[in-house]
Order: sequence, then structure tokens, then C-alpha cells
Amino acid sequence: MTEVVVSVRDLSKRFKLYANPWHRVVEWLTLGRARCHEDFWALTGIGFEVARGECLGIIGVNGAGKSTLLKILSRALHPTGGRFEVRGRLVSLLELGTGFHPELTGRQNIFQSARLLGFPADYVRQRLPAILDFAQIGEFIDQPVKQYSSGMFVRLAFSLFAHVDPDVYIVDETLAVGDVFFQQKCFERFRELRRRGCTILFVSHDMEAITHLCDRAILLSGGKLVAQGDAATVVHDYFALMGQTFAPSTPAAGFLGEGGTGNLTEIPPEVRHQLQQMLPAEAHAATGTRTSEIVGFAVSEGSGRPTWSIVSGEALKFWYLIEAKTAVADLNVGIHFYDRRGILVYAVGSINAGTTLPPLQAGERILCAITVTLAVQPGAYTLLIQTGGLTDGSPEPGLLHDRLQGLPPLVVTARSGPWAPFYGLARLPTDVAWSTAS
Amino acid sequence: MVVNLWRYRSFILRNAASDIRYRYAGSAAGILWHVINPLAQILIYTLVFSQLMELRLPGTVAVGAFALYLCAGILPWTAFSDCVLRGANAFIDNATYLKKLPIPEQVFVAQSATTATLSLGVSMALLFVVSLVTGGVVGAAWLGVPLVLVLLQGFGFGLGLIGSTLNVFLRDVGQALAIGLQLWMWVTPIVYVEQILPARLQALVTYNPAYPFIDALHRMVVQGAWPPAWEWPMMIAWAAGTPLVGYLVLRRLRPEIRDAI
Repeated sequence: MTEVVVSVRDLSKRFKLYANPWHRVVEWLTLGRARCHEDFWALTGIGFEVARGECLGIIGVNGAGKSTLLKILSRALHPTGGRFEVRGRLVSLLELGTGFHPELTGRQNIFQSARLLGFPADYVRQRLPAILDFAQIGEFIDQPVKQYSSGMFVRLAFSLFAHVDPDVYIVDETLAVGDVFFQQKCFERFRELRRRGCTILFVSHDMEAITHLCDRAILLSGGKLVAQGDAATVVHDYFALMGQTFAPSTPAAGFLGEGGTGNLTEIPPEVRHQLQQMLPAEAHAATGTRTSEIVGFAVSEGSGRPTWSIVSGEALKFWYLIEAKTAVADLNVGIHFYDRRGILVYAVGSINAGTTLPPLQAGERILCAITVTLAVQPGAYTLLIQTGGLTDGSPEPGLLHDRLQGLPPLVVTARSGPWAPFYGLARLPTDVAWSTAS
Repeated sequence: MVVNLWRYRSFILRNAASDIRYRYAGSAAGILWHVINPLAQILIYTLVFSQLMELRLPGTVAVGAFALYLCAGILPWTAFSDCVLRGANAFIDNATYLKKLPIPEQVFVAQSATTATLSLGVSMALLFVVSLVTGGVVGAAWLGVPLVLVLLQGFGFGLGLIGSTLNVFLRDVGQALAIGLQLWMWVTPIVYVEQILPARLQALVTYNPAYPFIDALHRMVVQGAWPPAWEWPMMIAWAAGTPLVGYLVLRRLRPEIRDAI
């Protein structure tokens, strides 16, 4: 039988929200008889177990309660109800660099932080060479950390955390620190810890990493545990949940009129269903003339199944259902892809792609699908979905009609295999020729 | 509470030591400022009161006696007030630790109390030397000084603990404490001798919780005499009682401190 290292039962956390700090005093003075606060339940009825050596992914959108849960497990917050037990020593990467004093040297800080985490000085002294070697700080180790670059600071902090041997690790997204070489070292270290049987709780928005590194996962939403099971299934649930938050379930009035033209003949039923969902008012950006309006939007993979994730190198279809509010002669339908650093990776419009859309009368609708092969590096991308016109009668070119905002991120996952098909932001059309003799 | 403080003793001591070491970080004299500052204070008082203003302590003829009297009260009071005020801000100043690490809250108050006590130790040692050099009454009673100082700082730690817990929820507490301590200093015979007060007030002044501490110090440092017997139980009661109350307040509000900070 496997040994349970972390067990959480019916855990809940309430934050009391006071409009004014004096309201708390009123409650104190009346011995709680006057109620002046509102309750905010950050967690309710959370229960799960983690066995020794297991890696559990914890996923959920921002504000789902992930951080609160982790803070309770690392005993930085007191739960309001329920019980939890962590067998052995727990170290959390949330605490990365917390104990660092800017005036102390790197070396002194290592000892100081270790003391804070409850590791004796001898323990650290033994591992010091490995820590220093991993961090690659060089001679700066005896300089005050206030003189460190932020990269050096994080490397040092991470090295310390990577070289202590707790029973349970809480790893946050901080894993992505430093340059690509350091990141690779971090992931290698992570795998080594797993091999050694360290129990890991892994929190990330990187679904790719969750599916590859974790055995199981739990999904939090609104402070509740909505799914748990094997990592791939829970990641799928996560995307389903993201889609839900975007598409409310009020069917829009109509679809396309009869007897239209164009080369888009096949509309998968699931896409049709999604396009008929009314977009919430706040999905439309305030800017834009609304000469044309996006009334429905869907993303599907090759089979026609709606999705927000794709394997790098495969194609996605972006479906736009557009309605002209007044007559539009030169409609342009566009899409922008930004990576997580906010860099525009690719943008294209129907006009750039060489397609001239037919002129529309007021009230007329058009369905437009842009197919893009996402030969980009794995990661999360944000989309900008918009319609515009070239002139719209006014002198300035490139007028924005409508833009959708607050779309869920598009997740591009890595193709499995020993070699990545390319390195860098995106794959450029490439051809390799060869011969052995003339 | 005591168990936890003991478990974190090395953290408290080392942090207090680095607080002291780095308070003057970046200055050329560095740690020496901990000696220069109180020394300058002592010398200035001595010079101003004994040479320029020629103030004499009632019943003495020694020139340095008033300066000694002043220093014997004002140096411990400064440390005490430091202990309370820094203690009251200890949770807020260490919010980053409290939010992320399972360190017991009281550790941070103990740390600021230790810092204040260490620098008090330095300044009182200097006062001892100055007293020797200028021909003050240096007797066996000086041996009691460290004990009184520790009790005084224990009292300060207790107040700091109460203050820091309340301050998390009501930031006004820290501000109010600063004013309160100023007032408190002036109702305690530190910069004046109690004999100048009207007889009615002289009787009242002994009810001031700080009075036994300051009076005991005056007697030991200026007159070389042991404090009256009633002052000891009073001092011990305050030094033990306030940390206890502080602990009860902390225990009651502990679950919410880290939420509110």
C-alpha cells in the first residue's frame, strides 16, 4: 500500500472582508454580536491525497484558490475549517528568495534562508559546493545580493531550493527562471527529484508541463475542487472550463441567411453550435466603429471539434460570424497572435491573405474561416480577433470595426519525439537538400 | 510561545545582530556608529548640563551628577520606546515573511526587542565607562543594572507584542503608540527630578508603570544604591505580565493576522 504524504480533508478558508478597519473594532467591542464584514470563501470543501513520490498538478484560472491552498499547506495561512496533514518537511518555491536580505552576501543569505526553512547550517555547508556550482554566480557570491542582477538573484534562490531535500516540494511556475540553459537545468533537476521519490505539488498555467510532469492533477474553480484524476483528463477539463467562461449559453437569434455564396460550404455541427452562442457585451472592445460586428466566434481543429489547444505544427480554423451594421464595401477580417511576453508573433487579415470578401448590405451576415498552421513554439498565446475596413469613406486607412477581448489563451503543445521540429519563435519554410557525389 | 521563541533563538539573535550590523550599512564608520552615537549623546549631556548650564542634582555637589542622572534614564527609555514602537510594526514590516513562511509571529517582535536591547547594552556599557572616568559613584549596585534593563525590555516586548497584533488590524495603533510614548516619557521623571514636582503629583508618579524601572536605574547609577524592595516585584510583574497579555491577544487573533496583513 502506498504511503499518503499529503492529505487534505474538507478544507475551507474564509477571508473576512471589512469595508473599514474600524468595523472590526466594532465587532470586537460587541463580542461579535454586530456583524460588519462580508465573507469571502476562497476555498470550500477541498479534499485530496497525495502518495509518496507522486507528482500532483494543481491547475485553475487566476483566483481559483490555488495560492490560498498552497499557503495553507505551507502553514503560512490558517484554514477556517477542515483538516490537512503533511508528513515530513515541506518546502515551497513560493518562498523563493523571500528570506534574502539585500545587505547580506549571497553566501550569508544561503545560510539565512536555509535556517528560515528549518535546515541546520551543517546541512547547508555540505551542499554548498553543489549549490554554488548550480547557481553560477561566480565571485559575486561574497557580494551583497543587492548588487545582483535579478537573474542572479533568482538563480541563487532557486539553487538553494533545488538542493535541499524536503519530503514534499511545492513548485510554482517560478521554474521558468533564468535563461534557456538554466531552465533546462531546472527541469533536469526537477526530473531527478522525481526519480528520487520526492513528492511534488506542481502549480502551473503551462498545461504542457502539467501533462508531461504530473501523474495526477486537481482542478480548482471558484474555490472548489471541480475535477481530479489523471493529468491529461484534468487538463482537458480545464480547457472545457475555460471555454465555458467565454461562451455563455444564450443562443443568438439567427444564423446565416439562405442562398448565400462563397467557398465555405461545410460547417461542423459543433462549430455551428458555438457560433450561435451570443458573445457577452464585455467581449467587445470599446474601440471600433462597429460598422461590422463579430456576432459569433469559434476555434476548431481539423476534425471540426472546437478547441483552444493544438499540437505545434498543426492547423486551427478560426470561425467568424460577422454582421454588417451599415453597408461595408471592403471588409477585412484579421487575427493577431501574441506570445506570453506580449510579442506579436503573427498577424494576418483576409486582405493580406489575398481574399476579397464580398460587399455587405446593412444587416447582412457573412461566415468567414481563417485557417492558420501554428508552427510556433509551444506555449500560451493570446488572440486579437477583429474586423475592419480599408477606408469606410473616411480618409484614414485601416479602420477598426470590432475587436474581441478577454478570449482564453490558445495553448500550443509540443510534438512528442526526441527532436523538436525547430527552435525559436516560429518555423520558417525550410528545405534541406543534399548529395554525396557530383 | 516560549517554546517557539527558543526554537527560533538562533534566527532571532542572528537577525538582531544583522539589524545592528546593517543599520549603518554603507557608511564608512559602519558598526562604529553604534558606539559613536550614544557616546556623543552622553558627552553632549555632560557638557551642556554640567559645564554650560551648571545644573546640580539636588543633594549632590558632583558636576557630572545631573548628566549621569539624565543618561541613566534617557538611554534606557530610548531603547524601551524603540522596543515598543519597532515591536508594534514588526508584523507589518515583516509581512513578506509572514505571508509566505510558517514562522511564529512573535519571533519578529522578539527580534526587534533583541536589537533594541543589544544597542542598549552598548550604550549602558559606555555610560559605565564615562561614569568611571568622570568620577561618578560606581558601586556594587551597578551589578543590578543589567537585570533592570532586561526587565524593562521584557515589559517593552510585551507592549510591542500587544501593539503589533492590534496594529495589523488597525494601523492607527502604531501612530497612537508613538504619541503615547512621548507623553509617557514626560510624565516619568527622566529629564527632570521628581522633587521638582508638587507634592500631590509626587505621590501619583509612583503609580506610573515605568517609574520603578527608571527610579531603580537612577538609584543604582547615580547614587550607587540598591532600589527599594517594593520596586522589584513591580518590575517583575510588568515584565512578565505584559508578554502574557500579549500572548493571549496574539493567540486570540492569530488565525486572522496573516489574512489581514
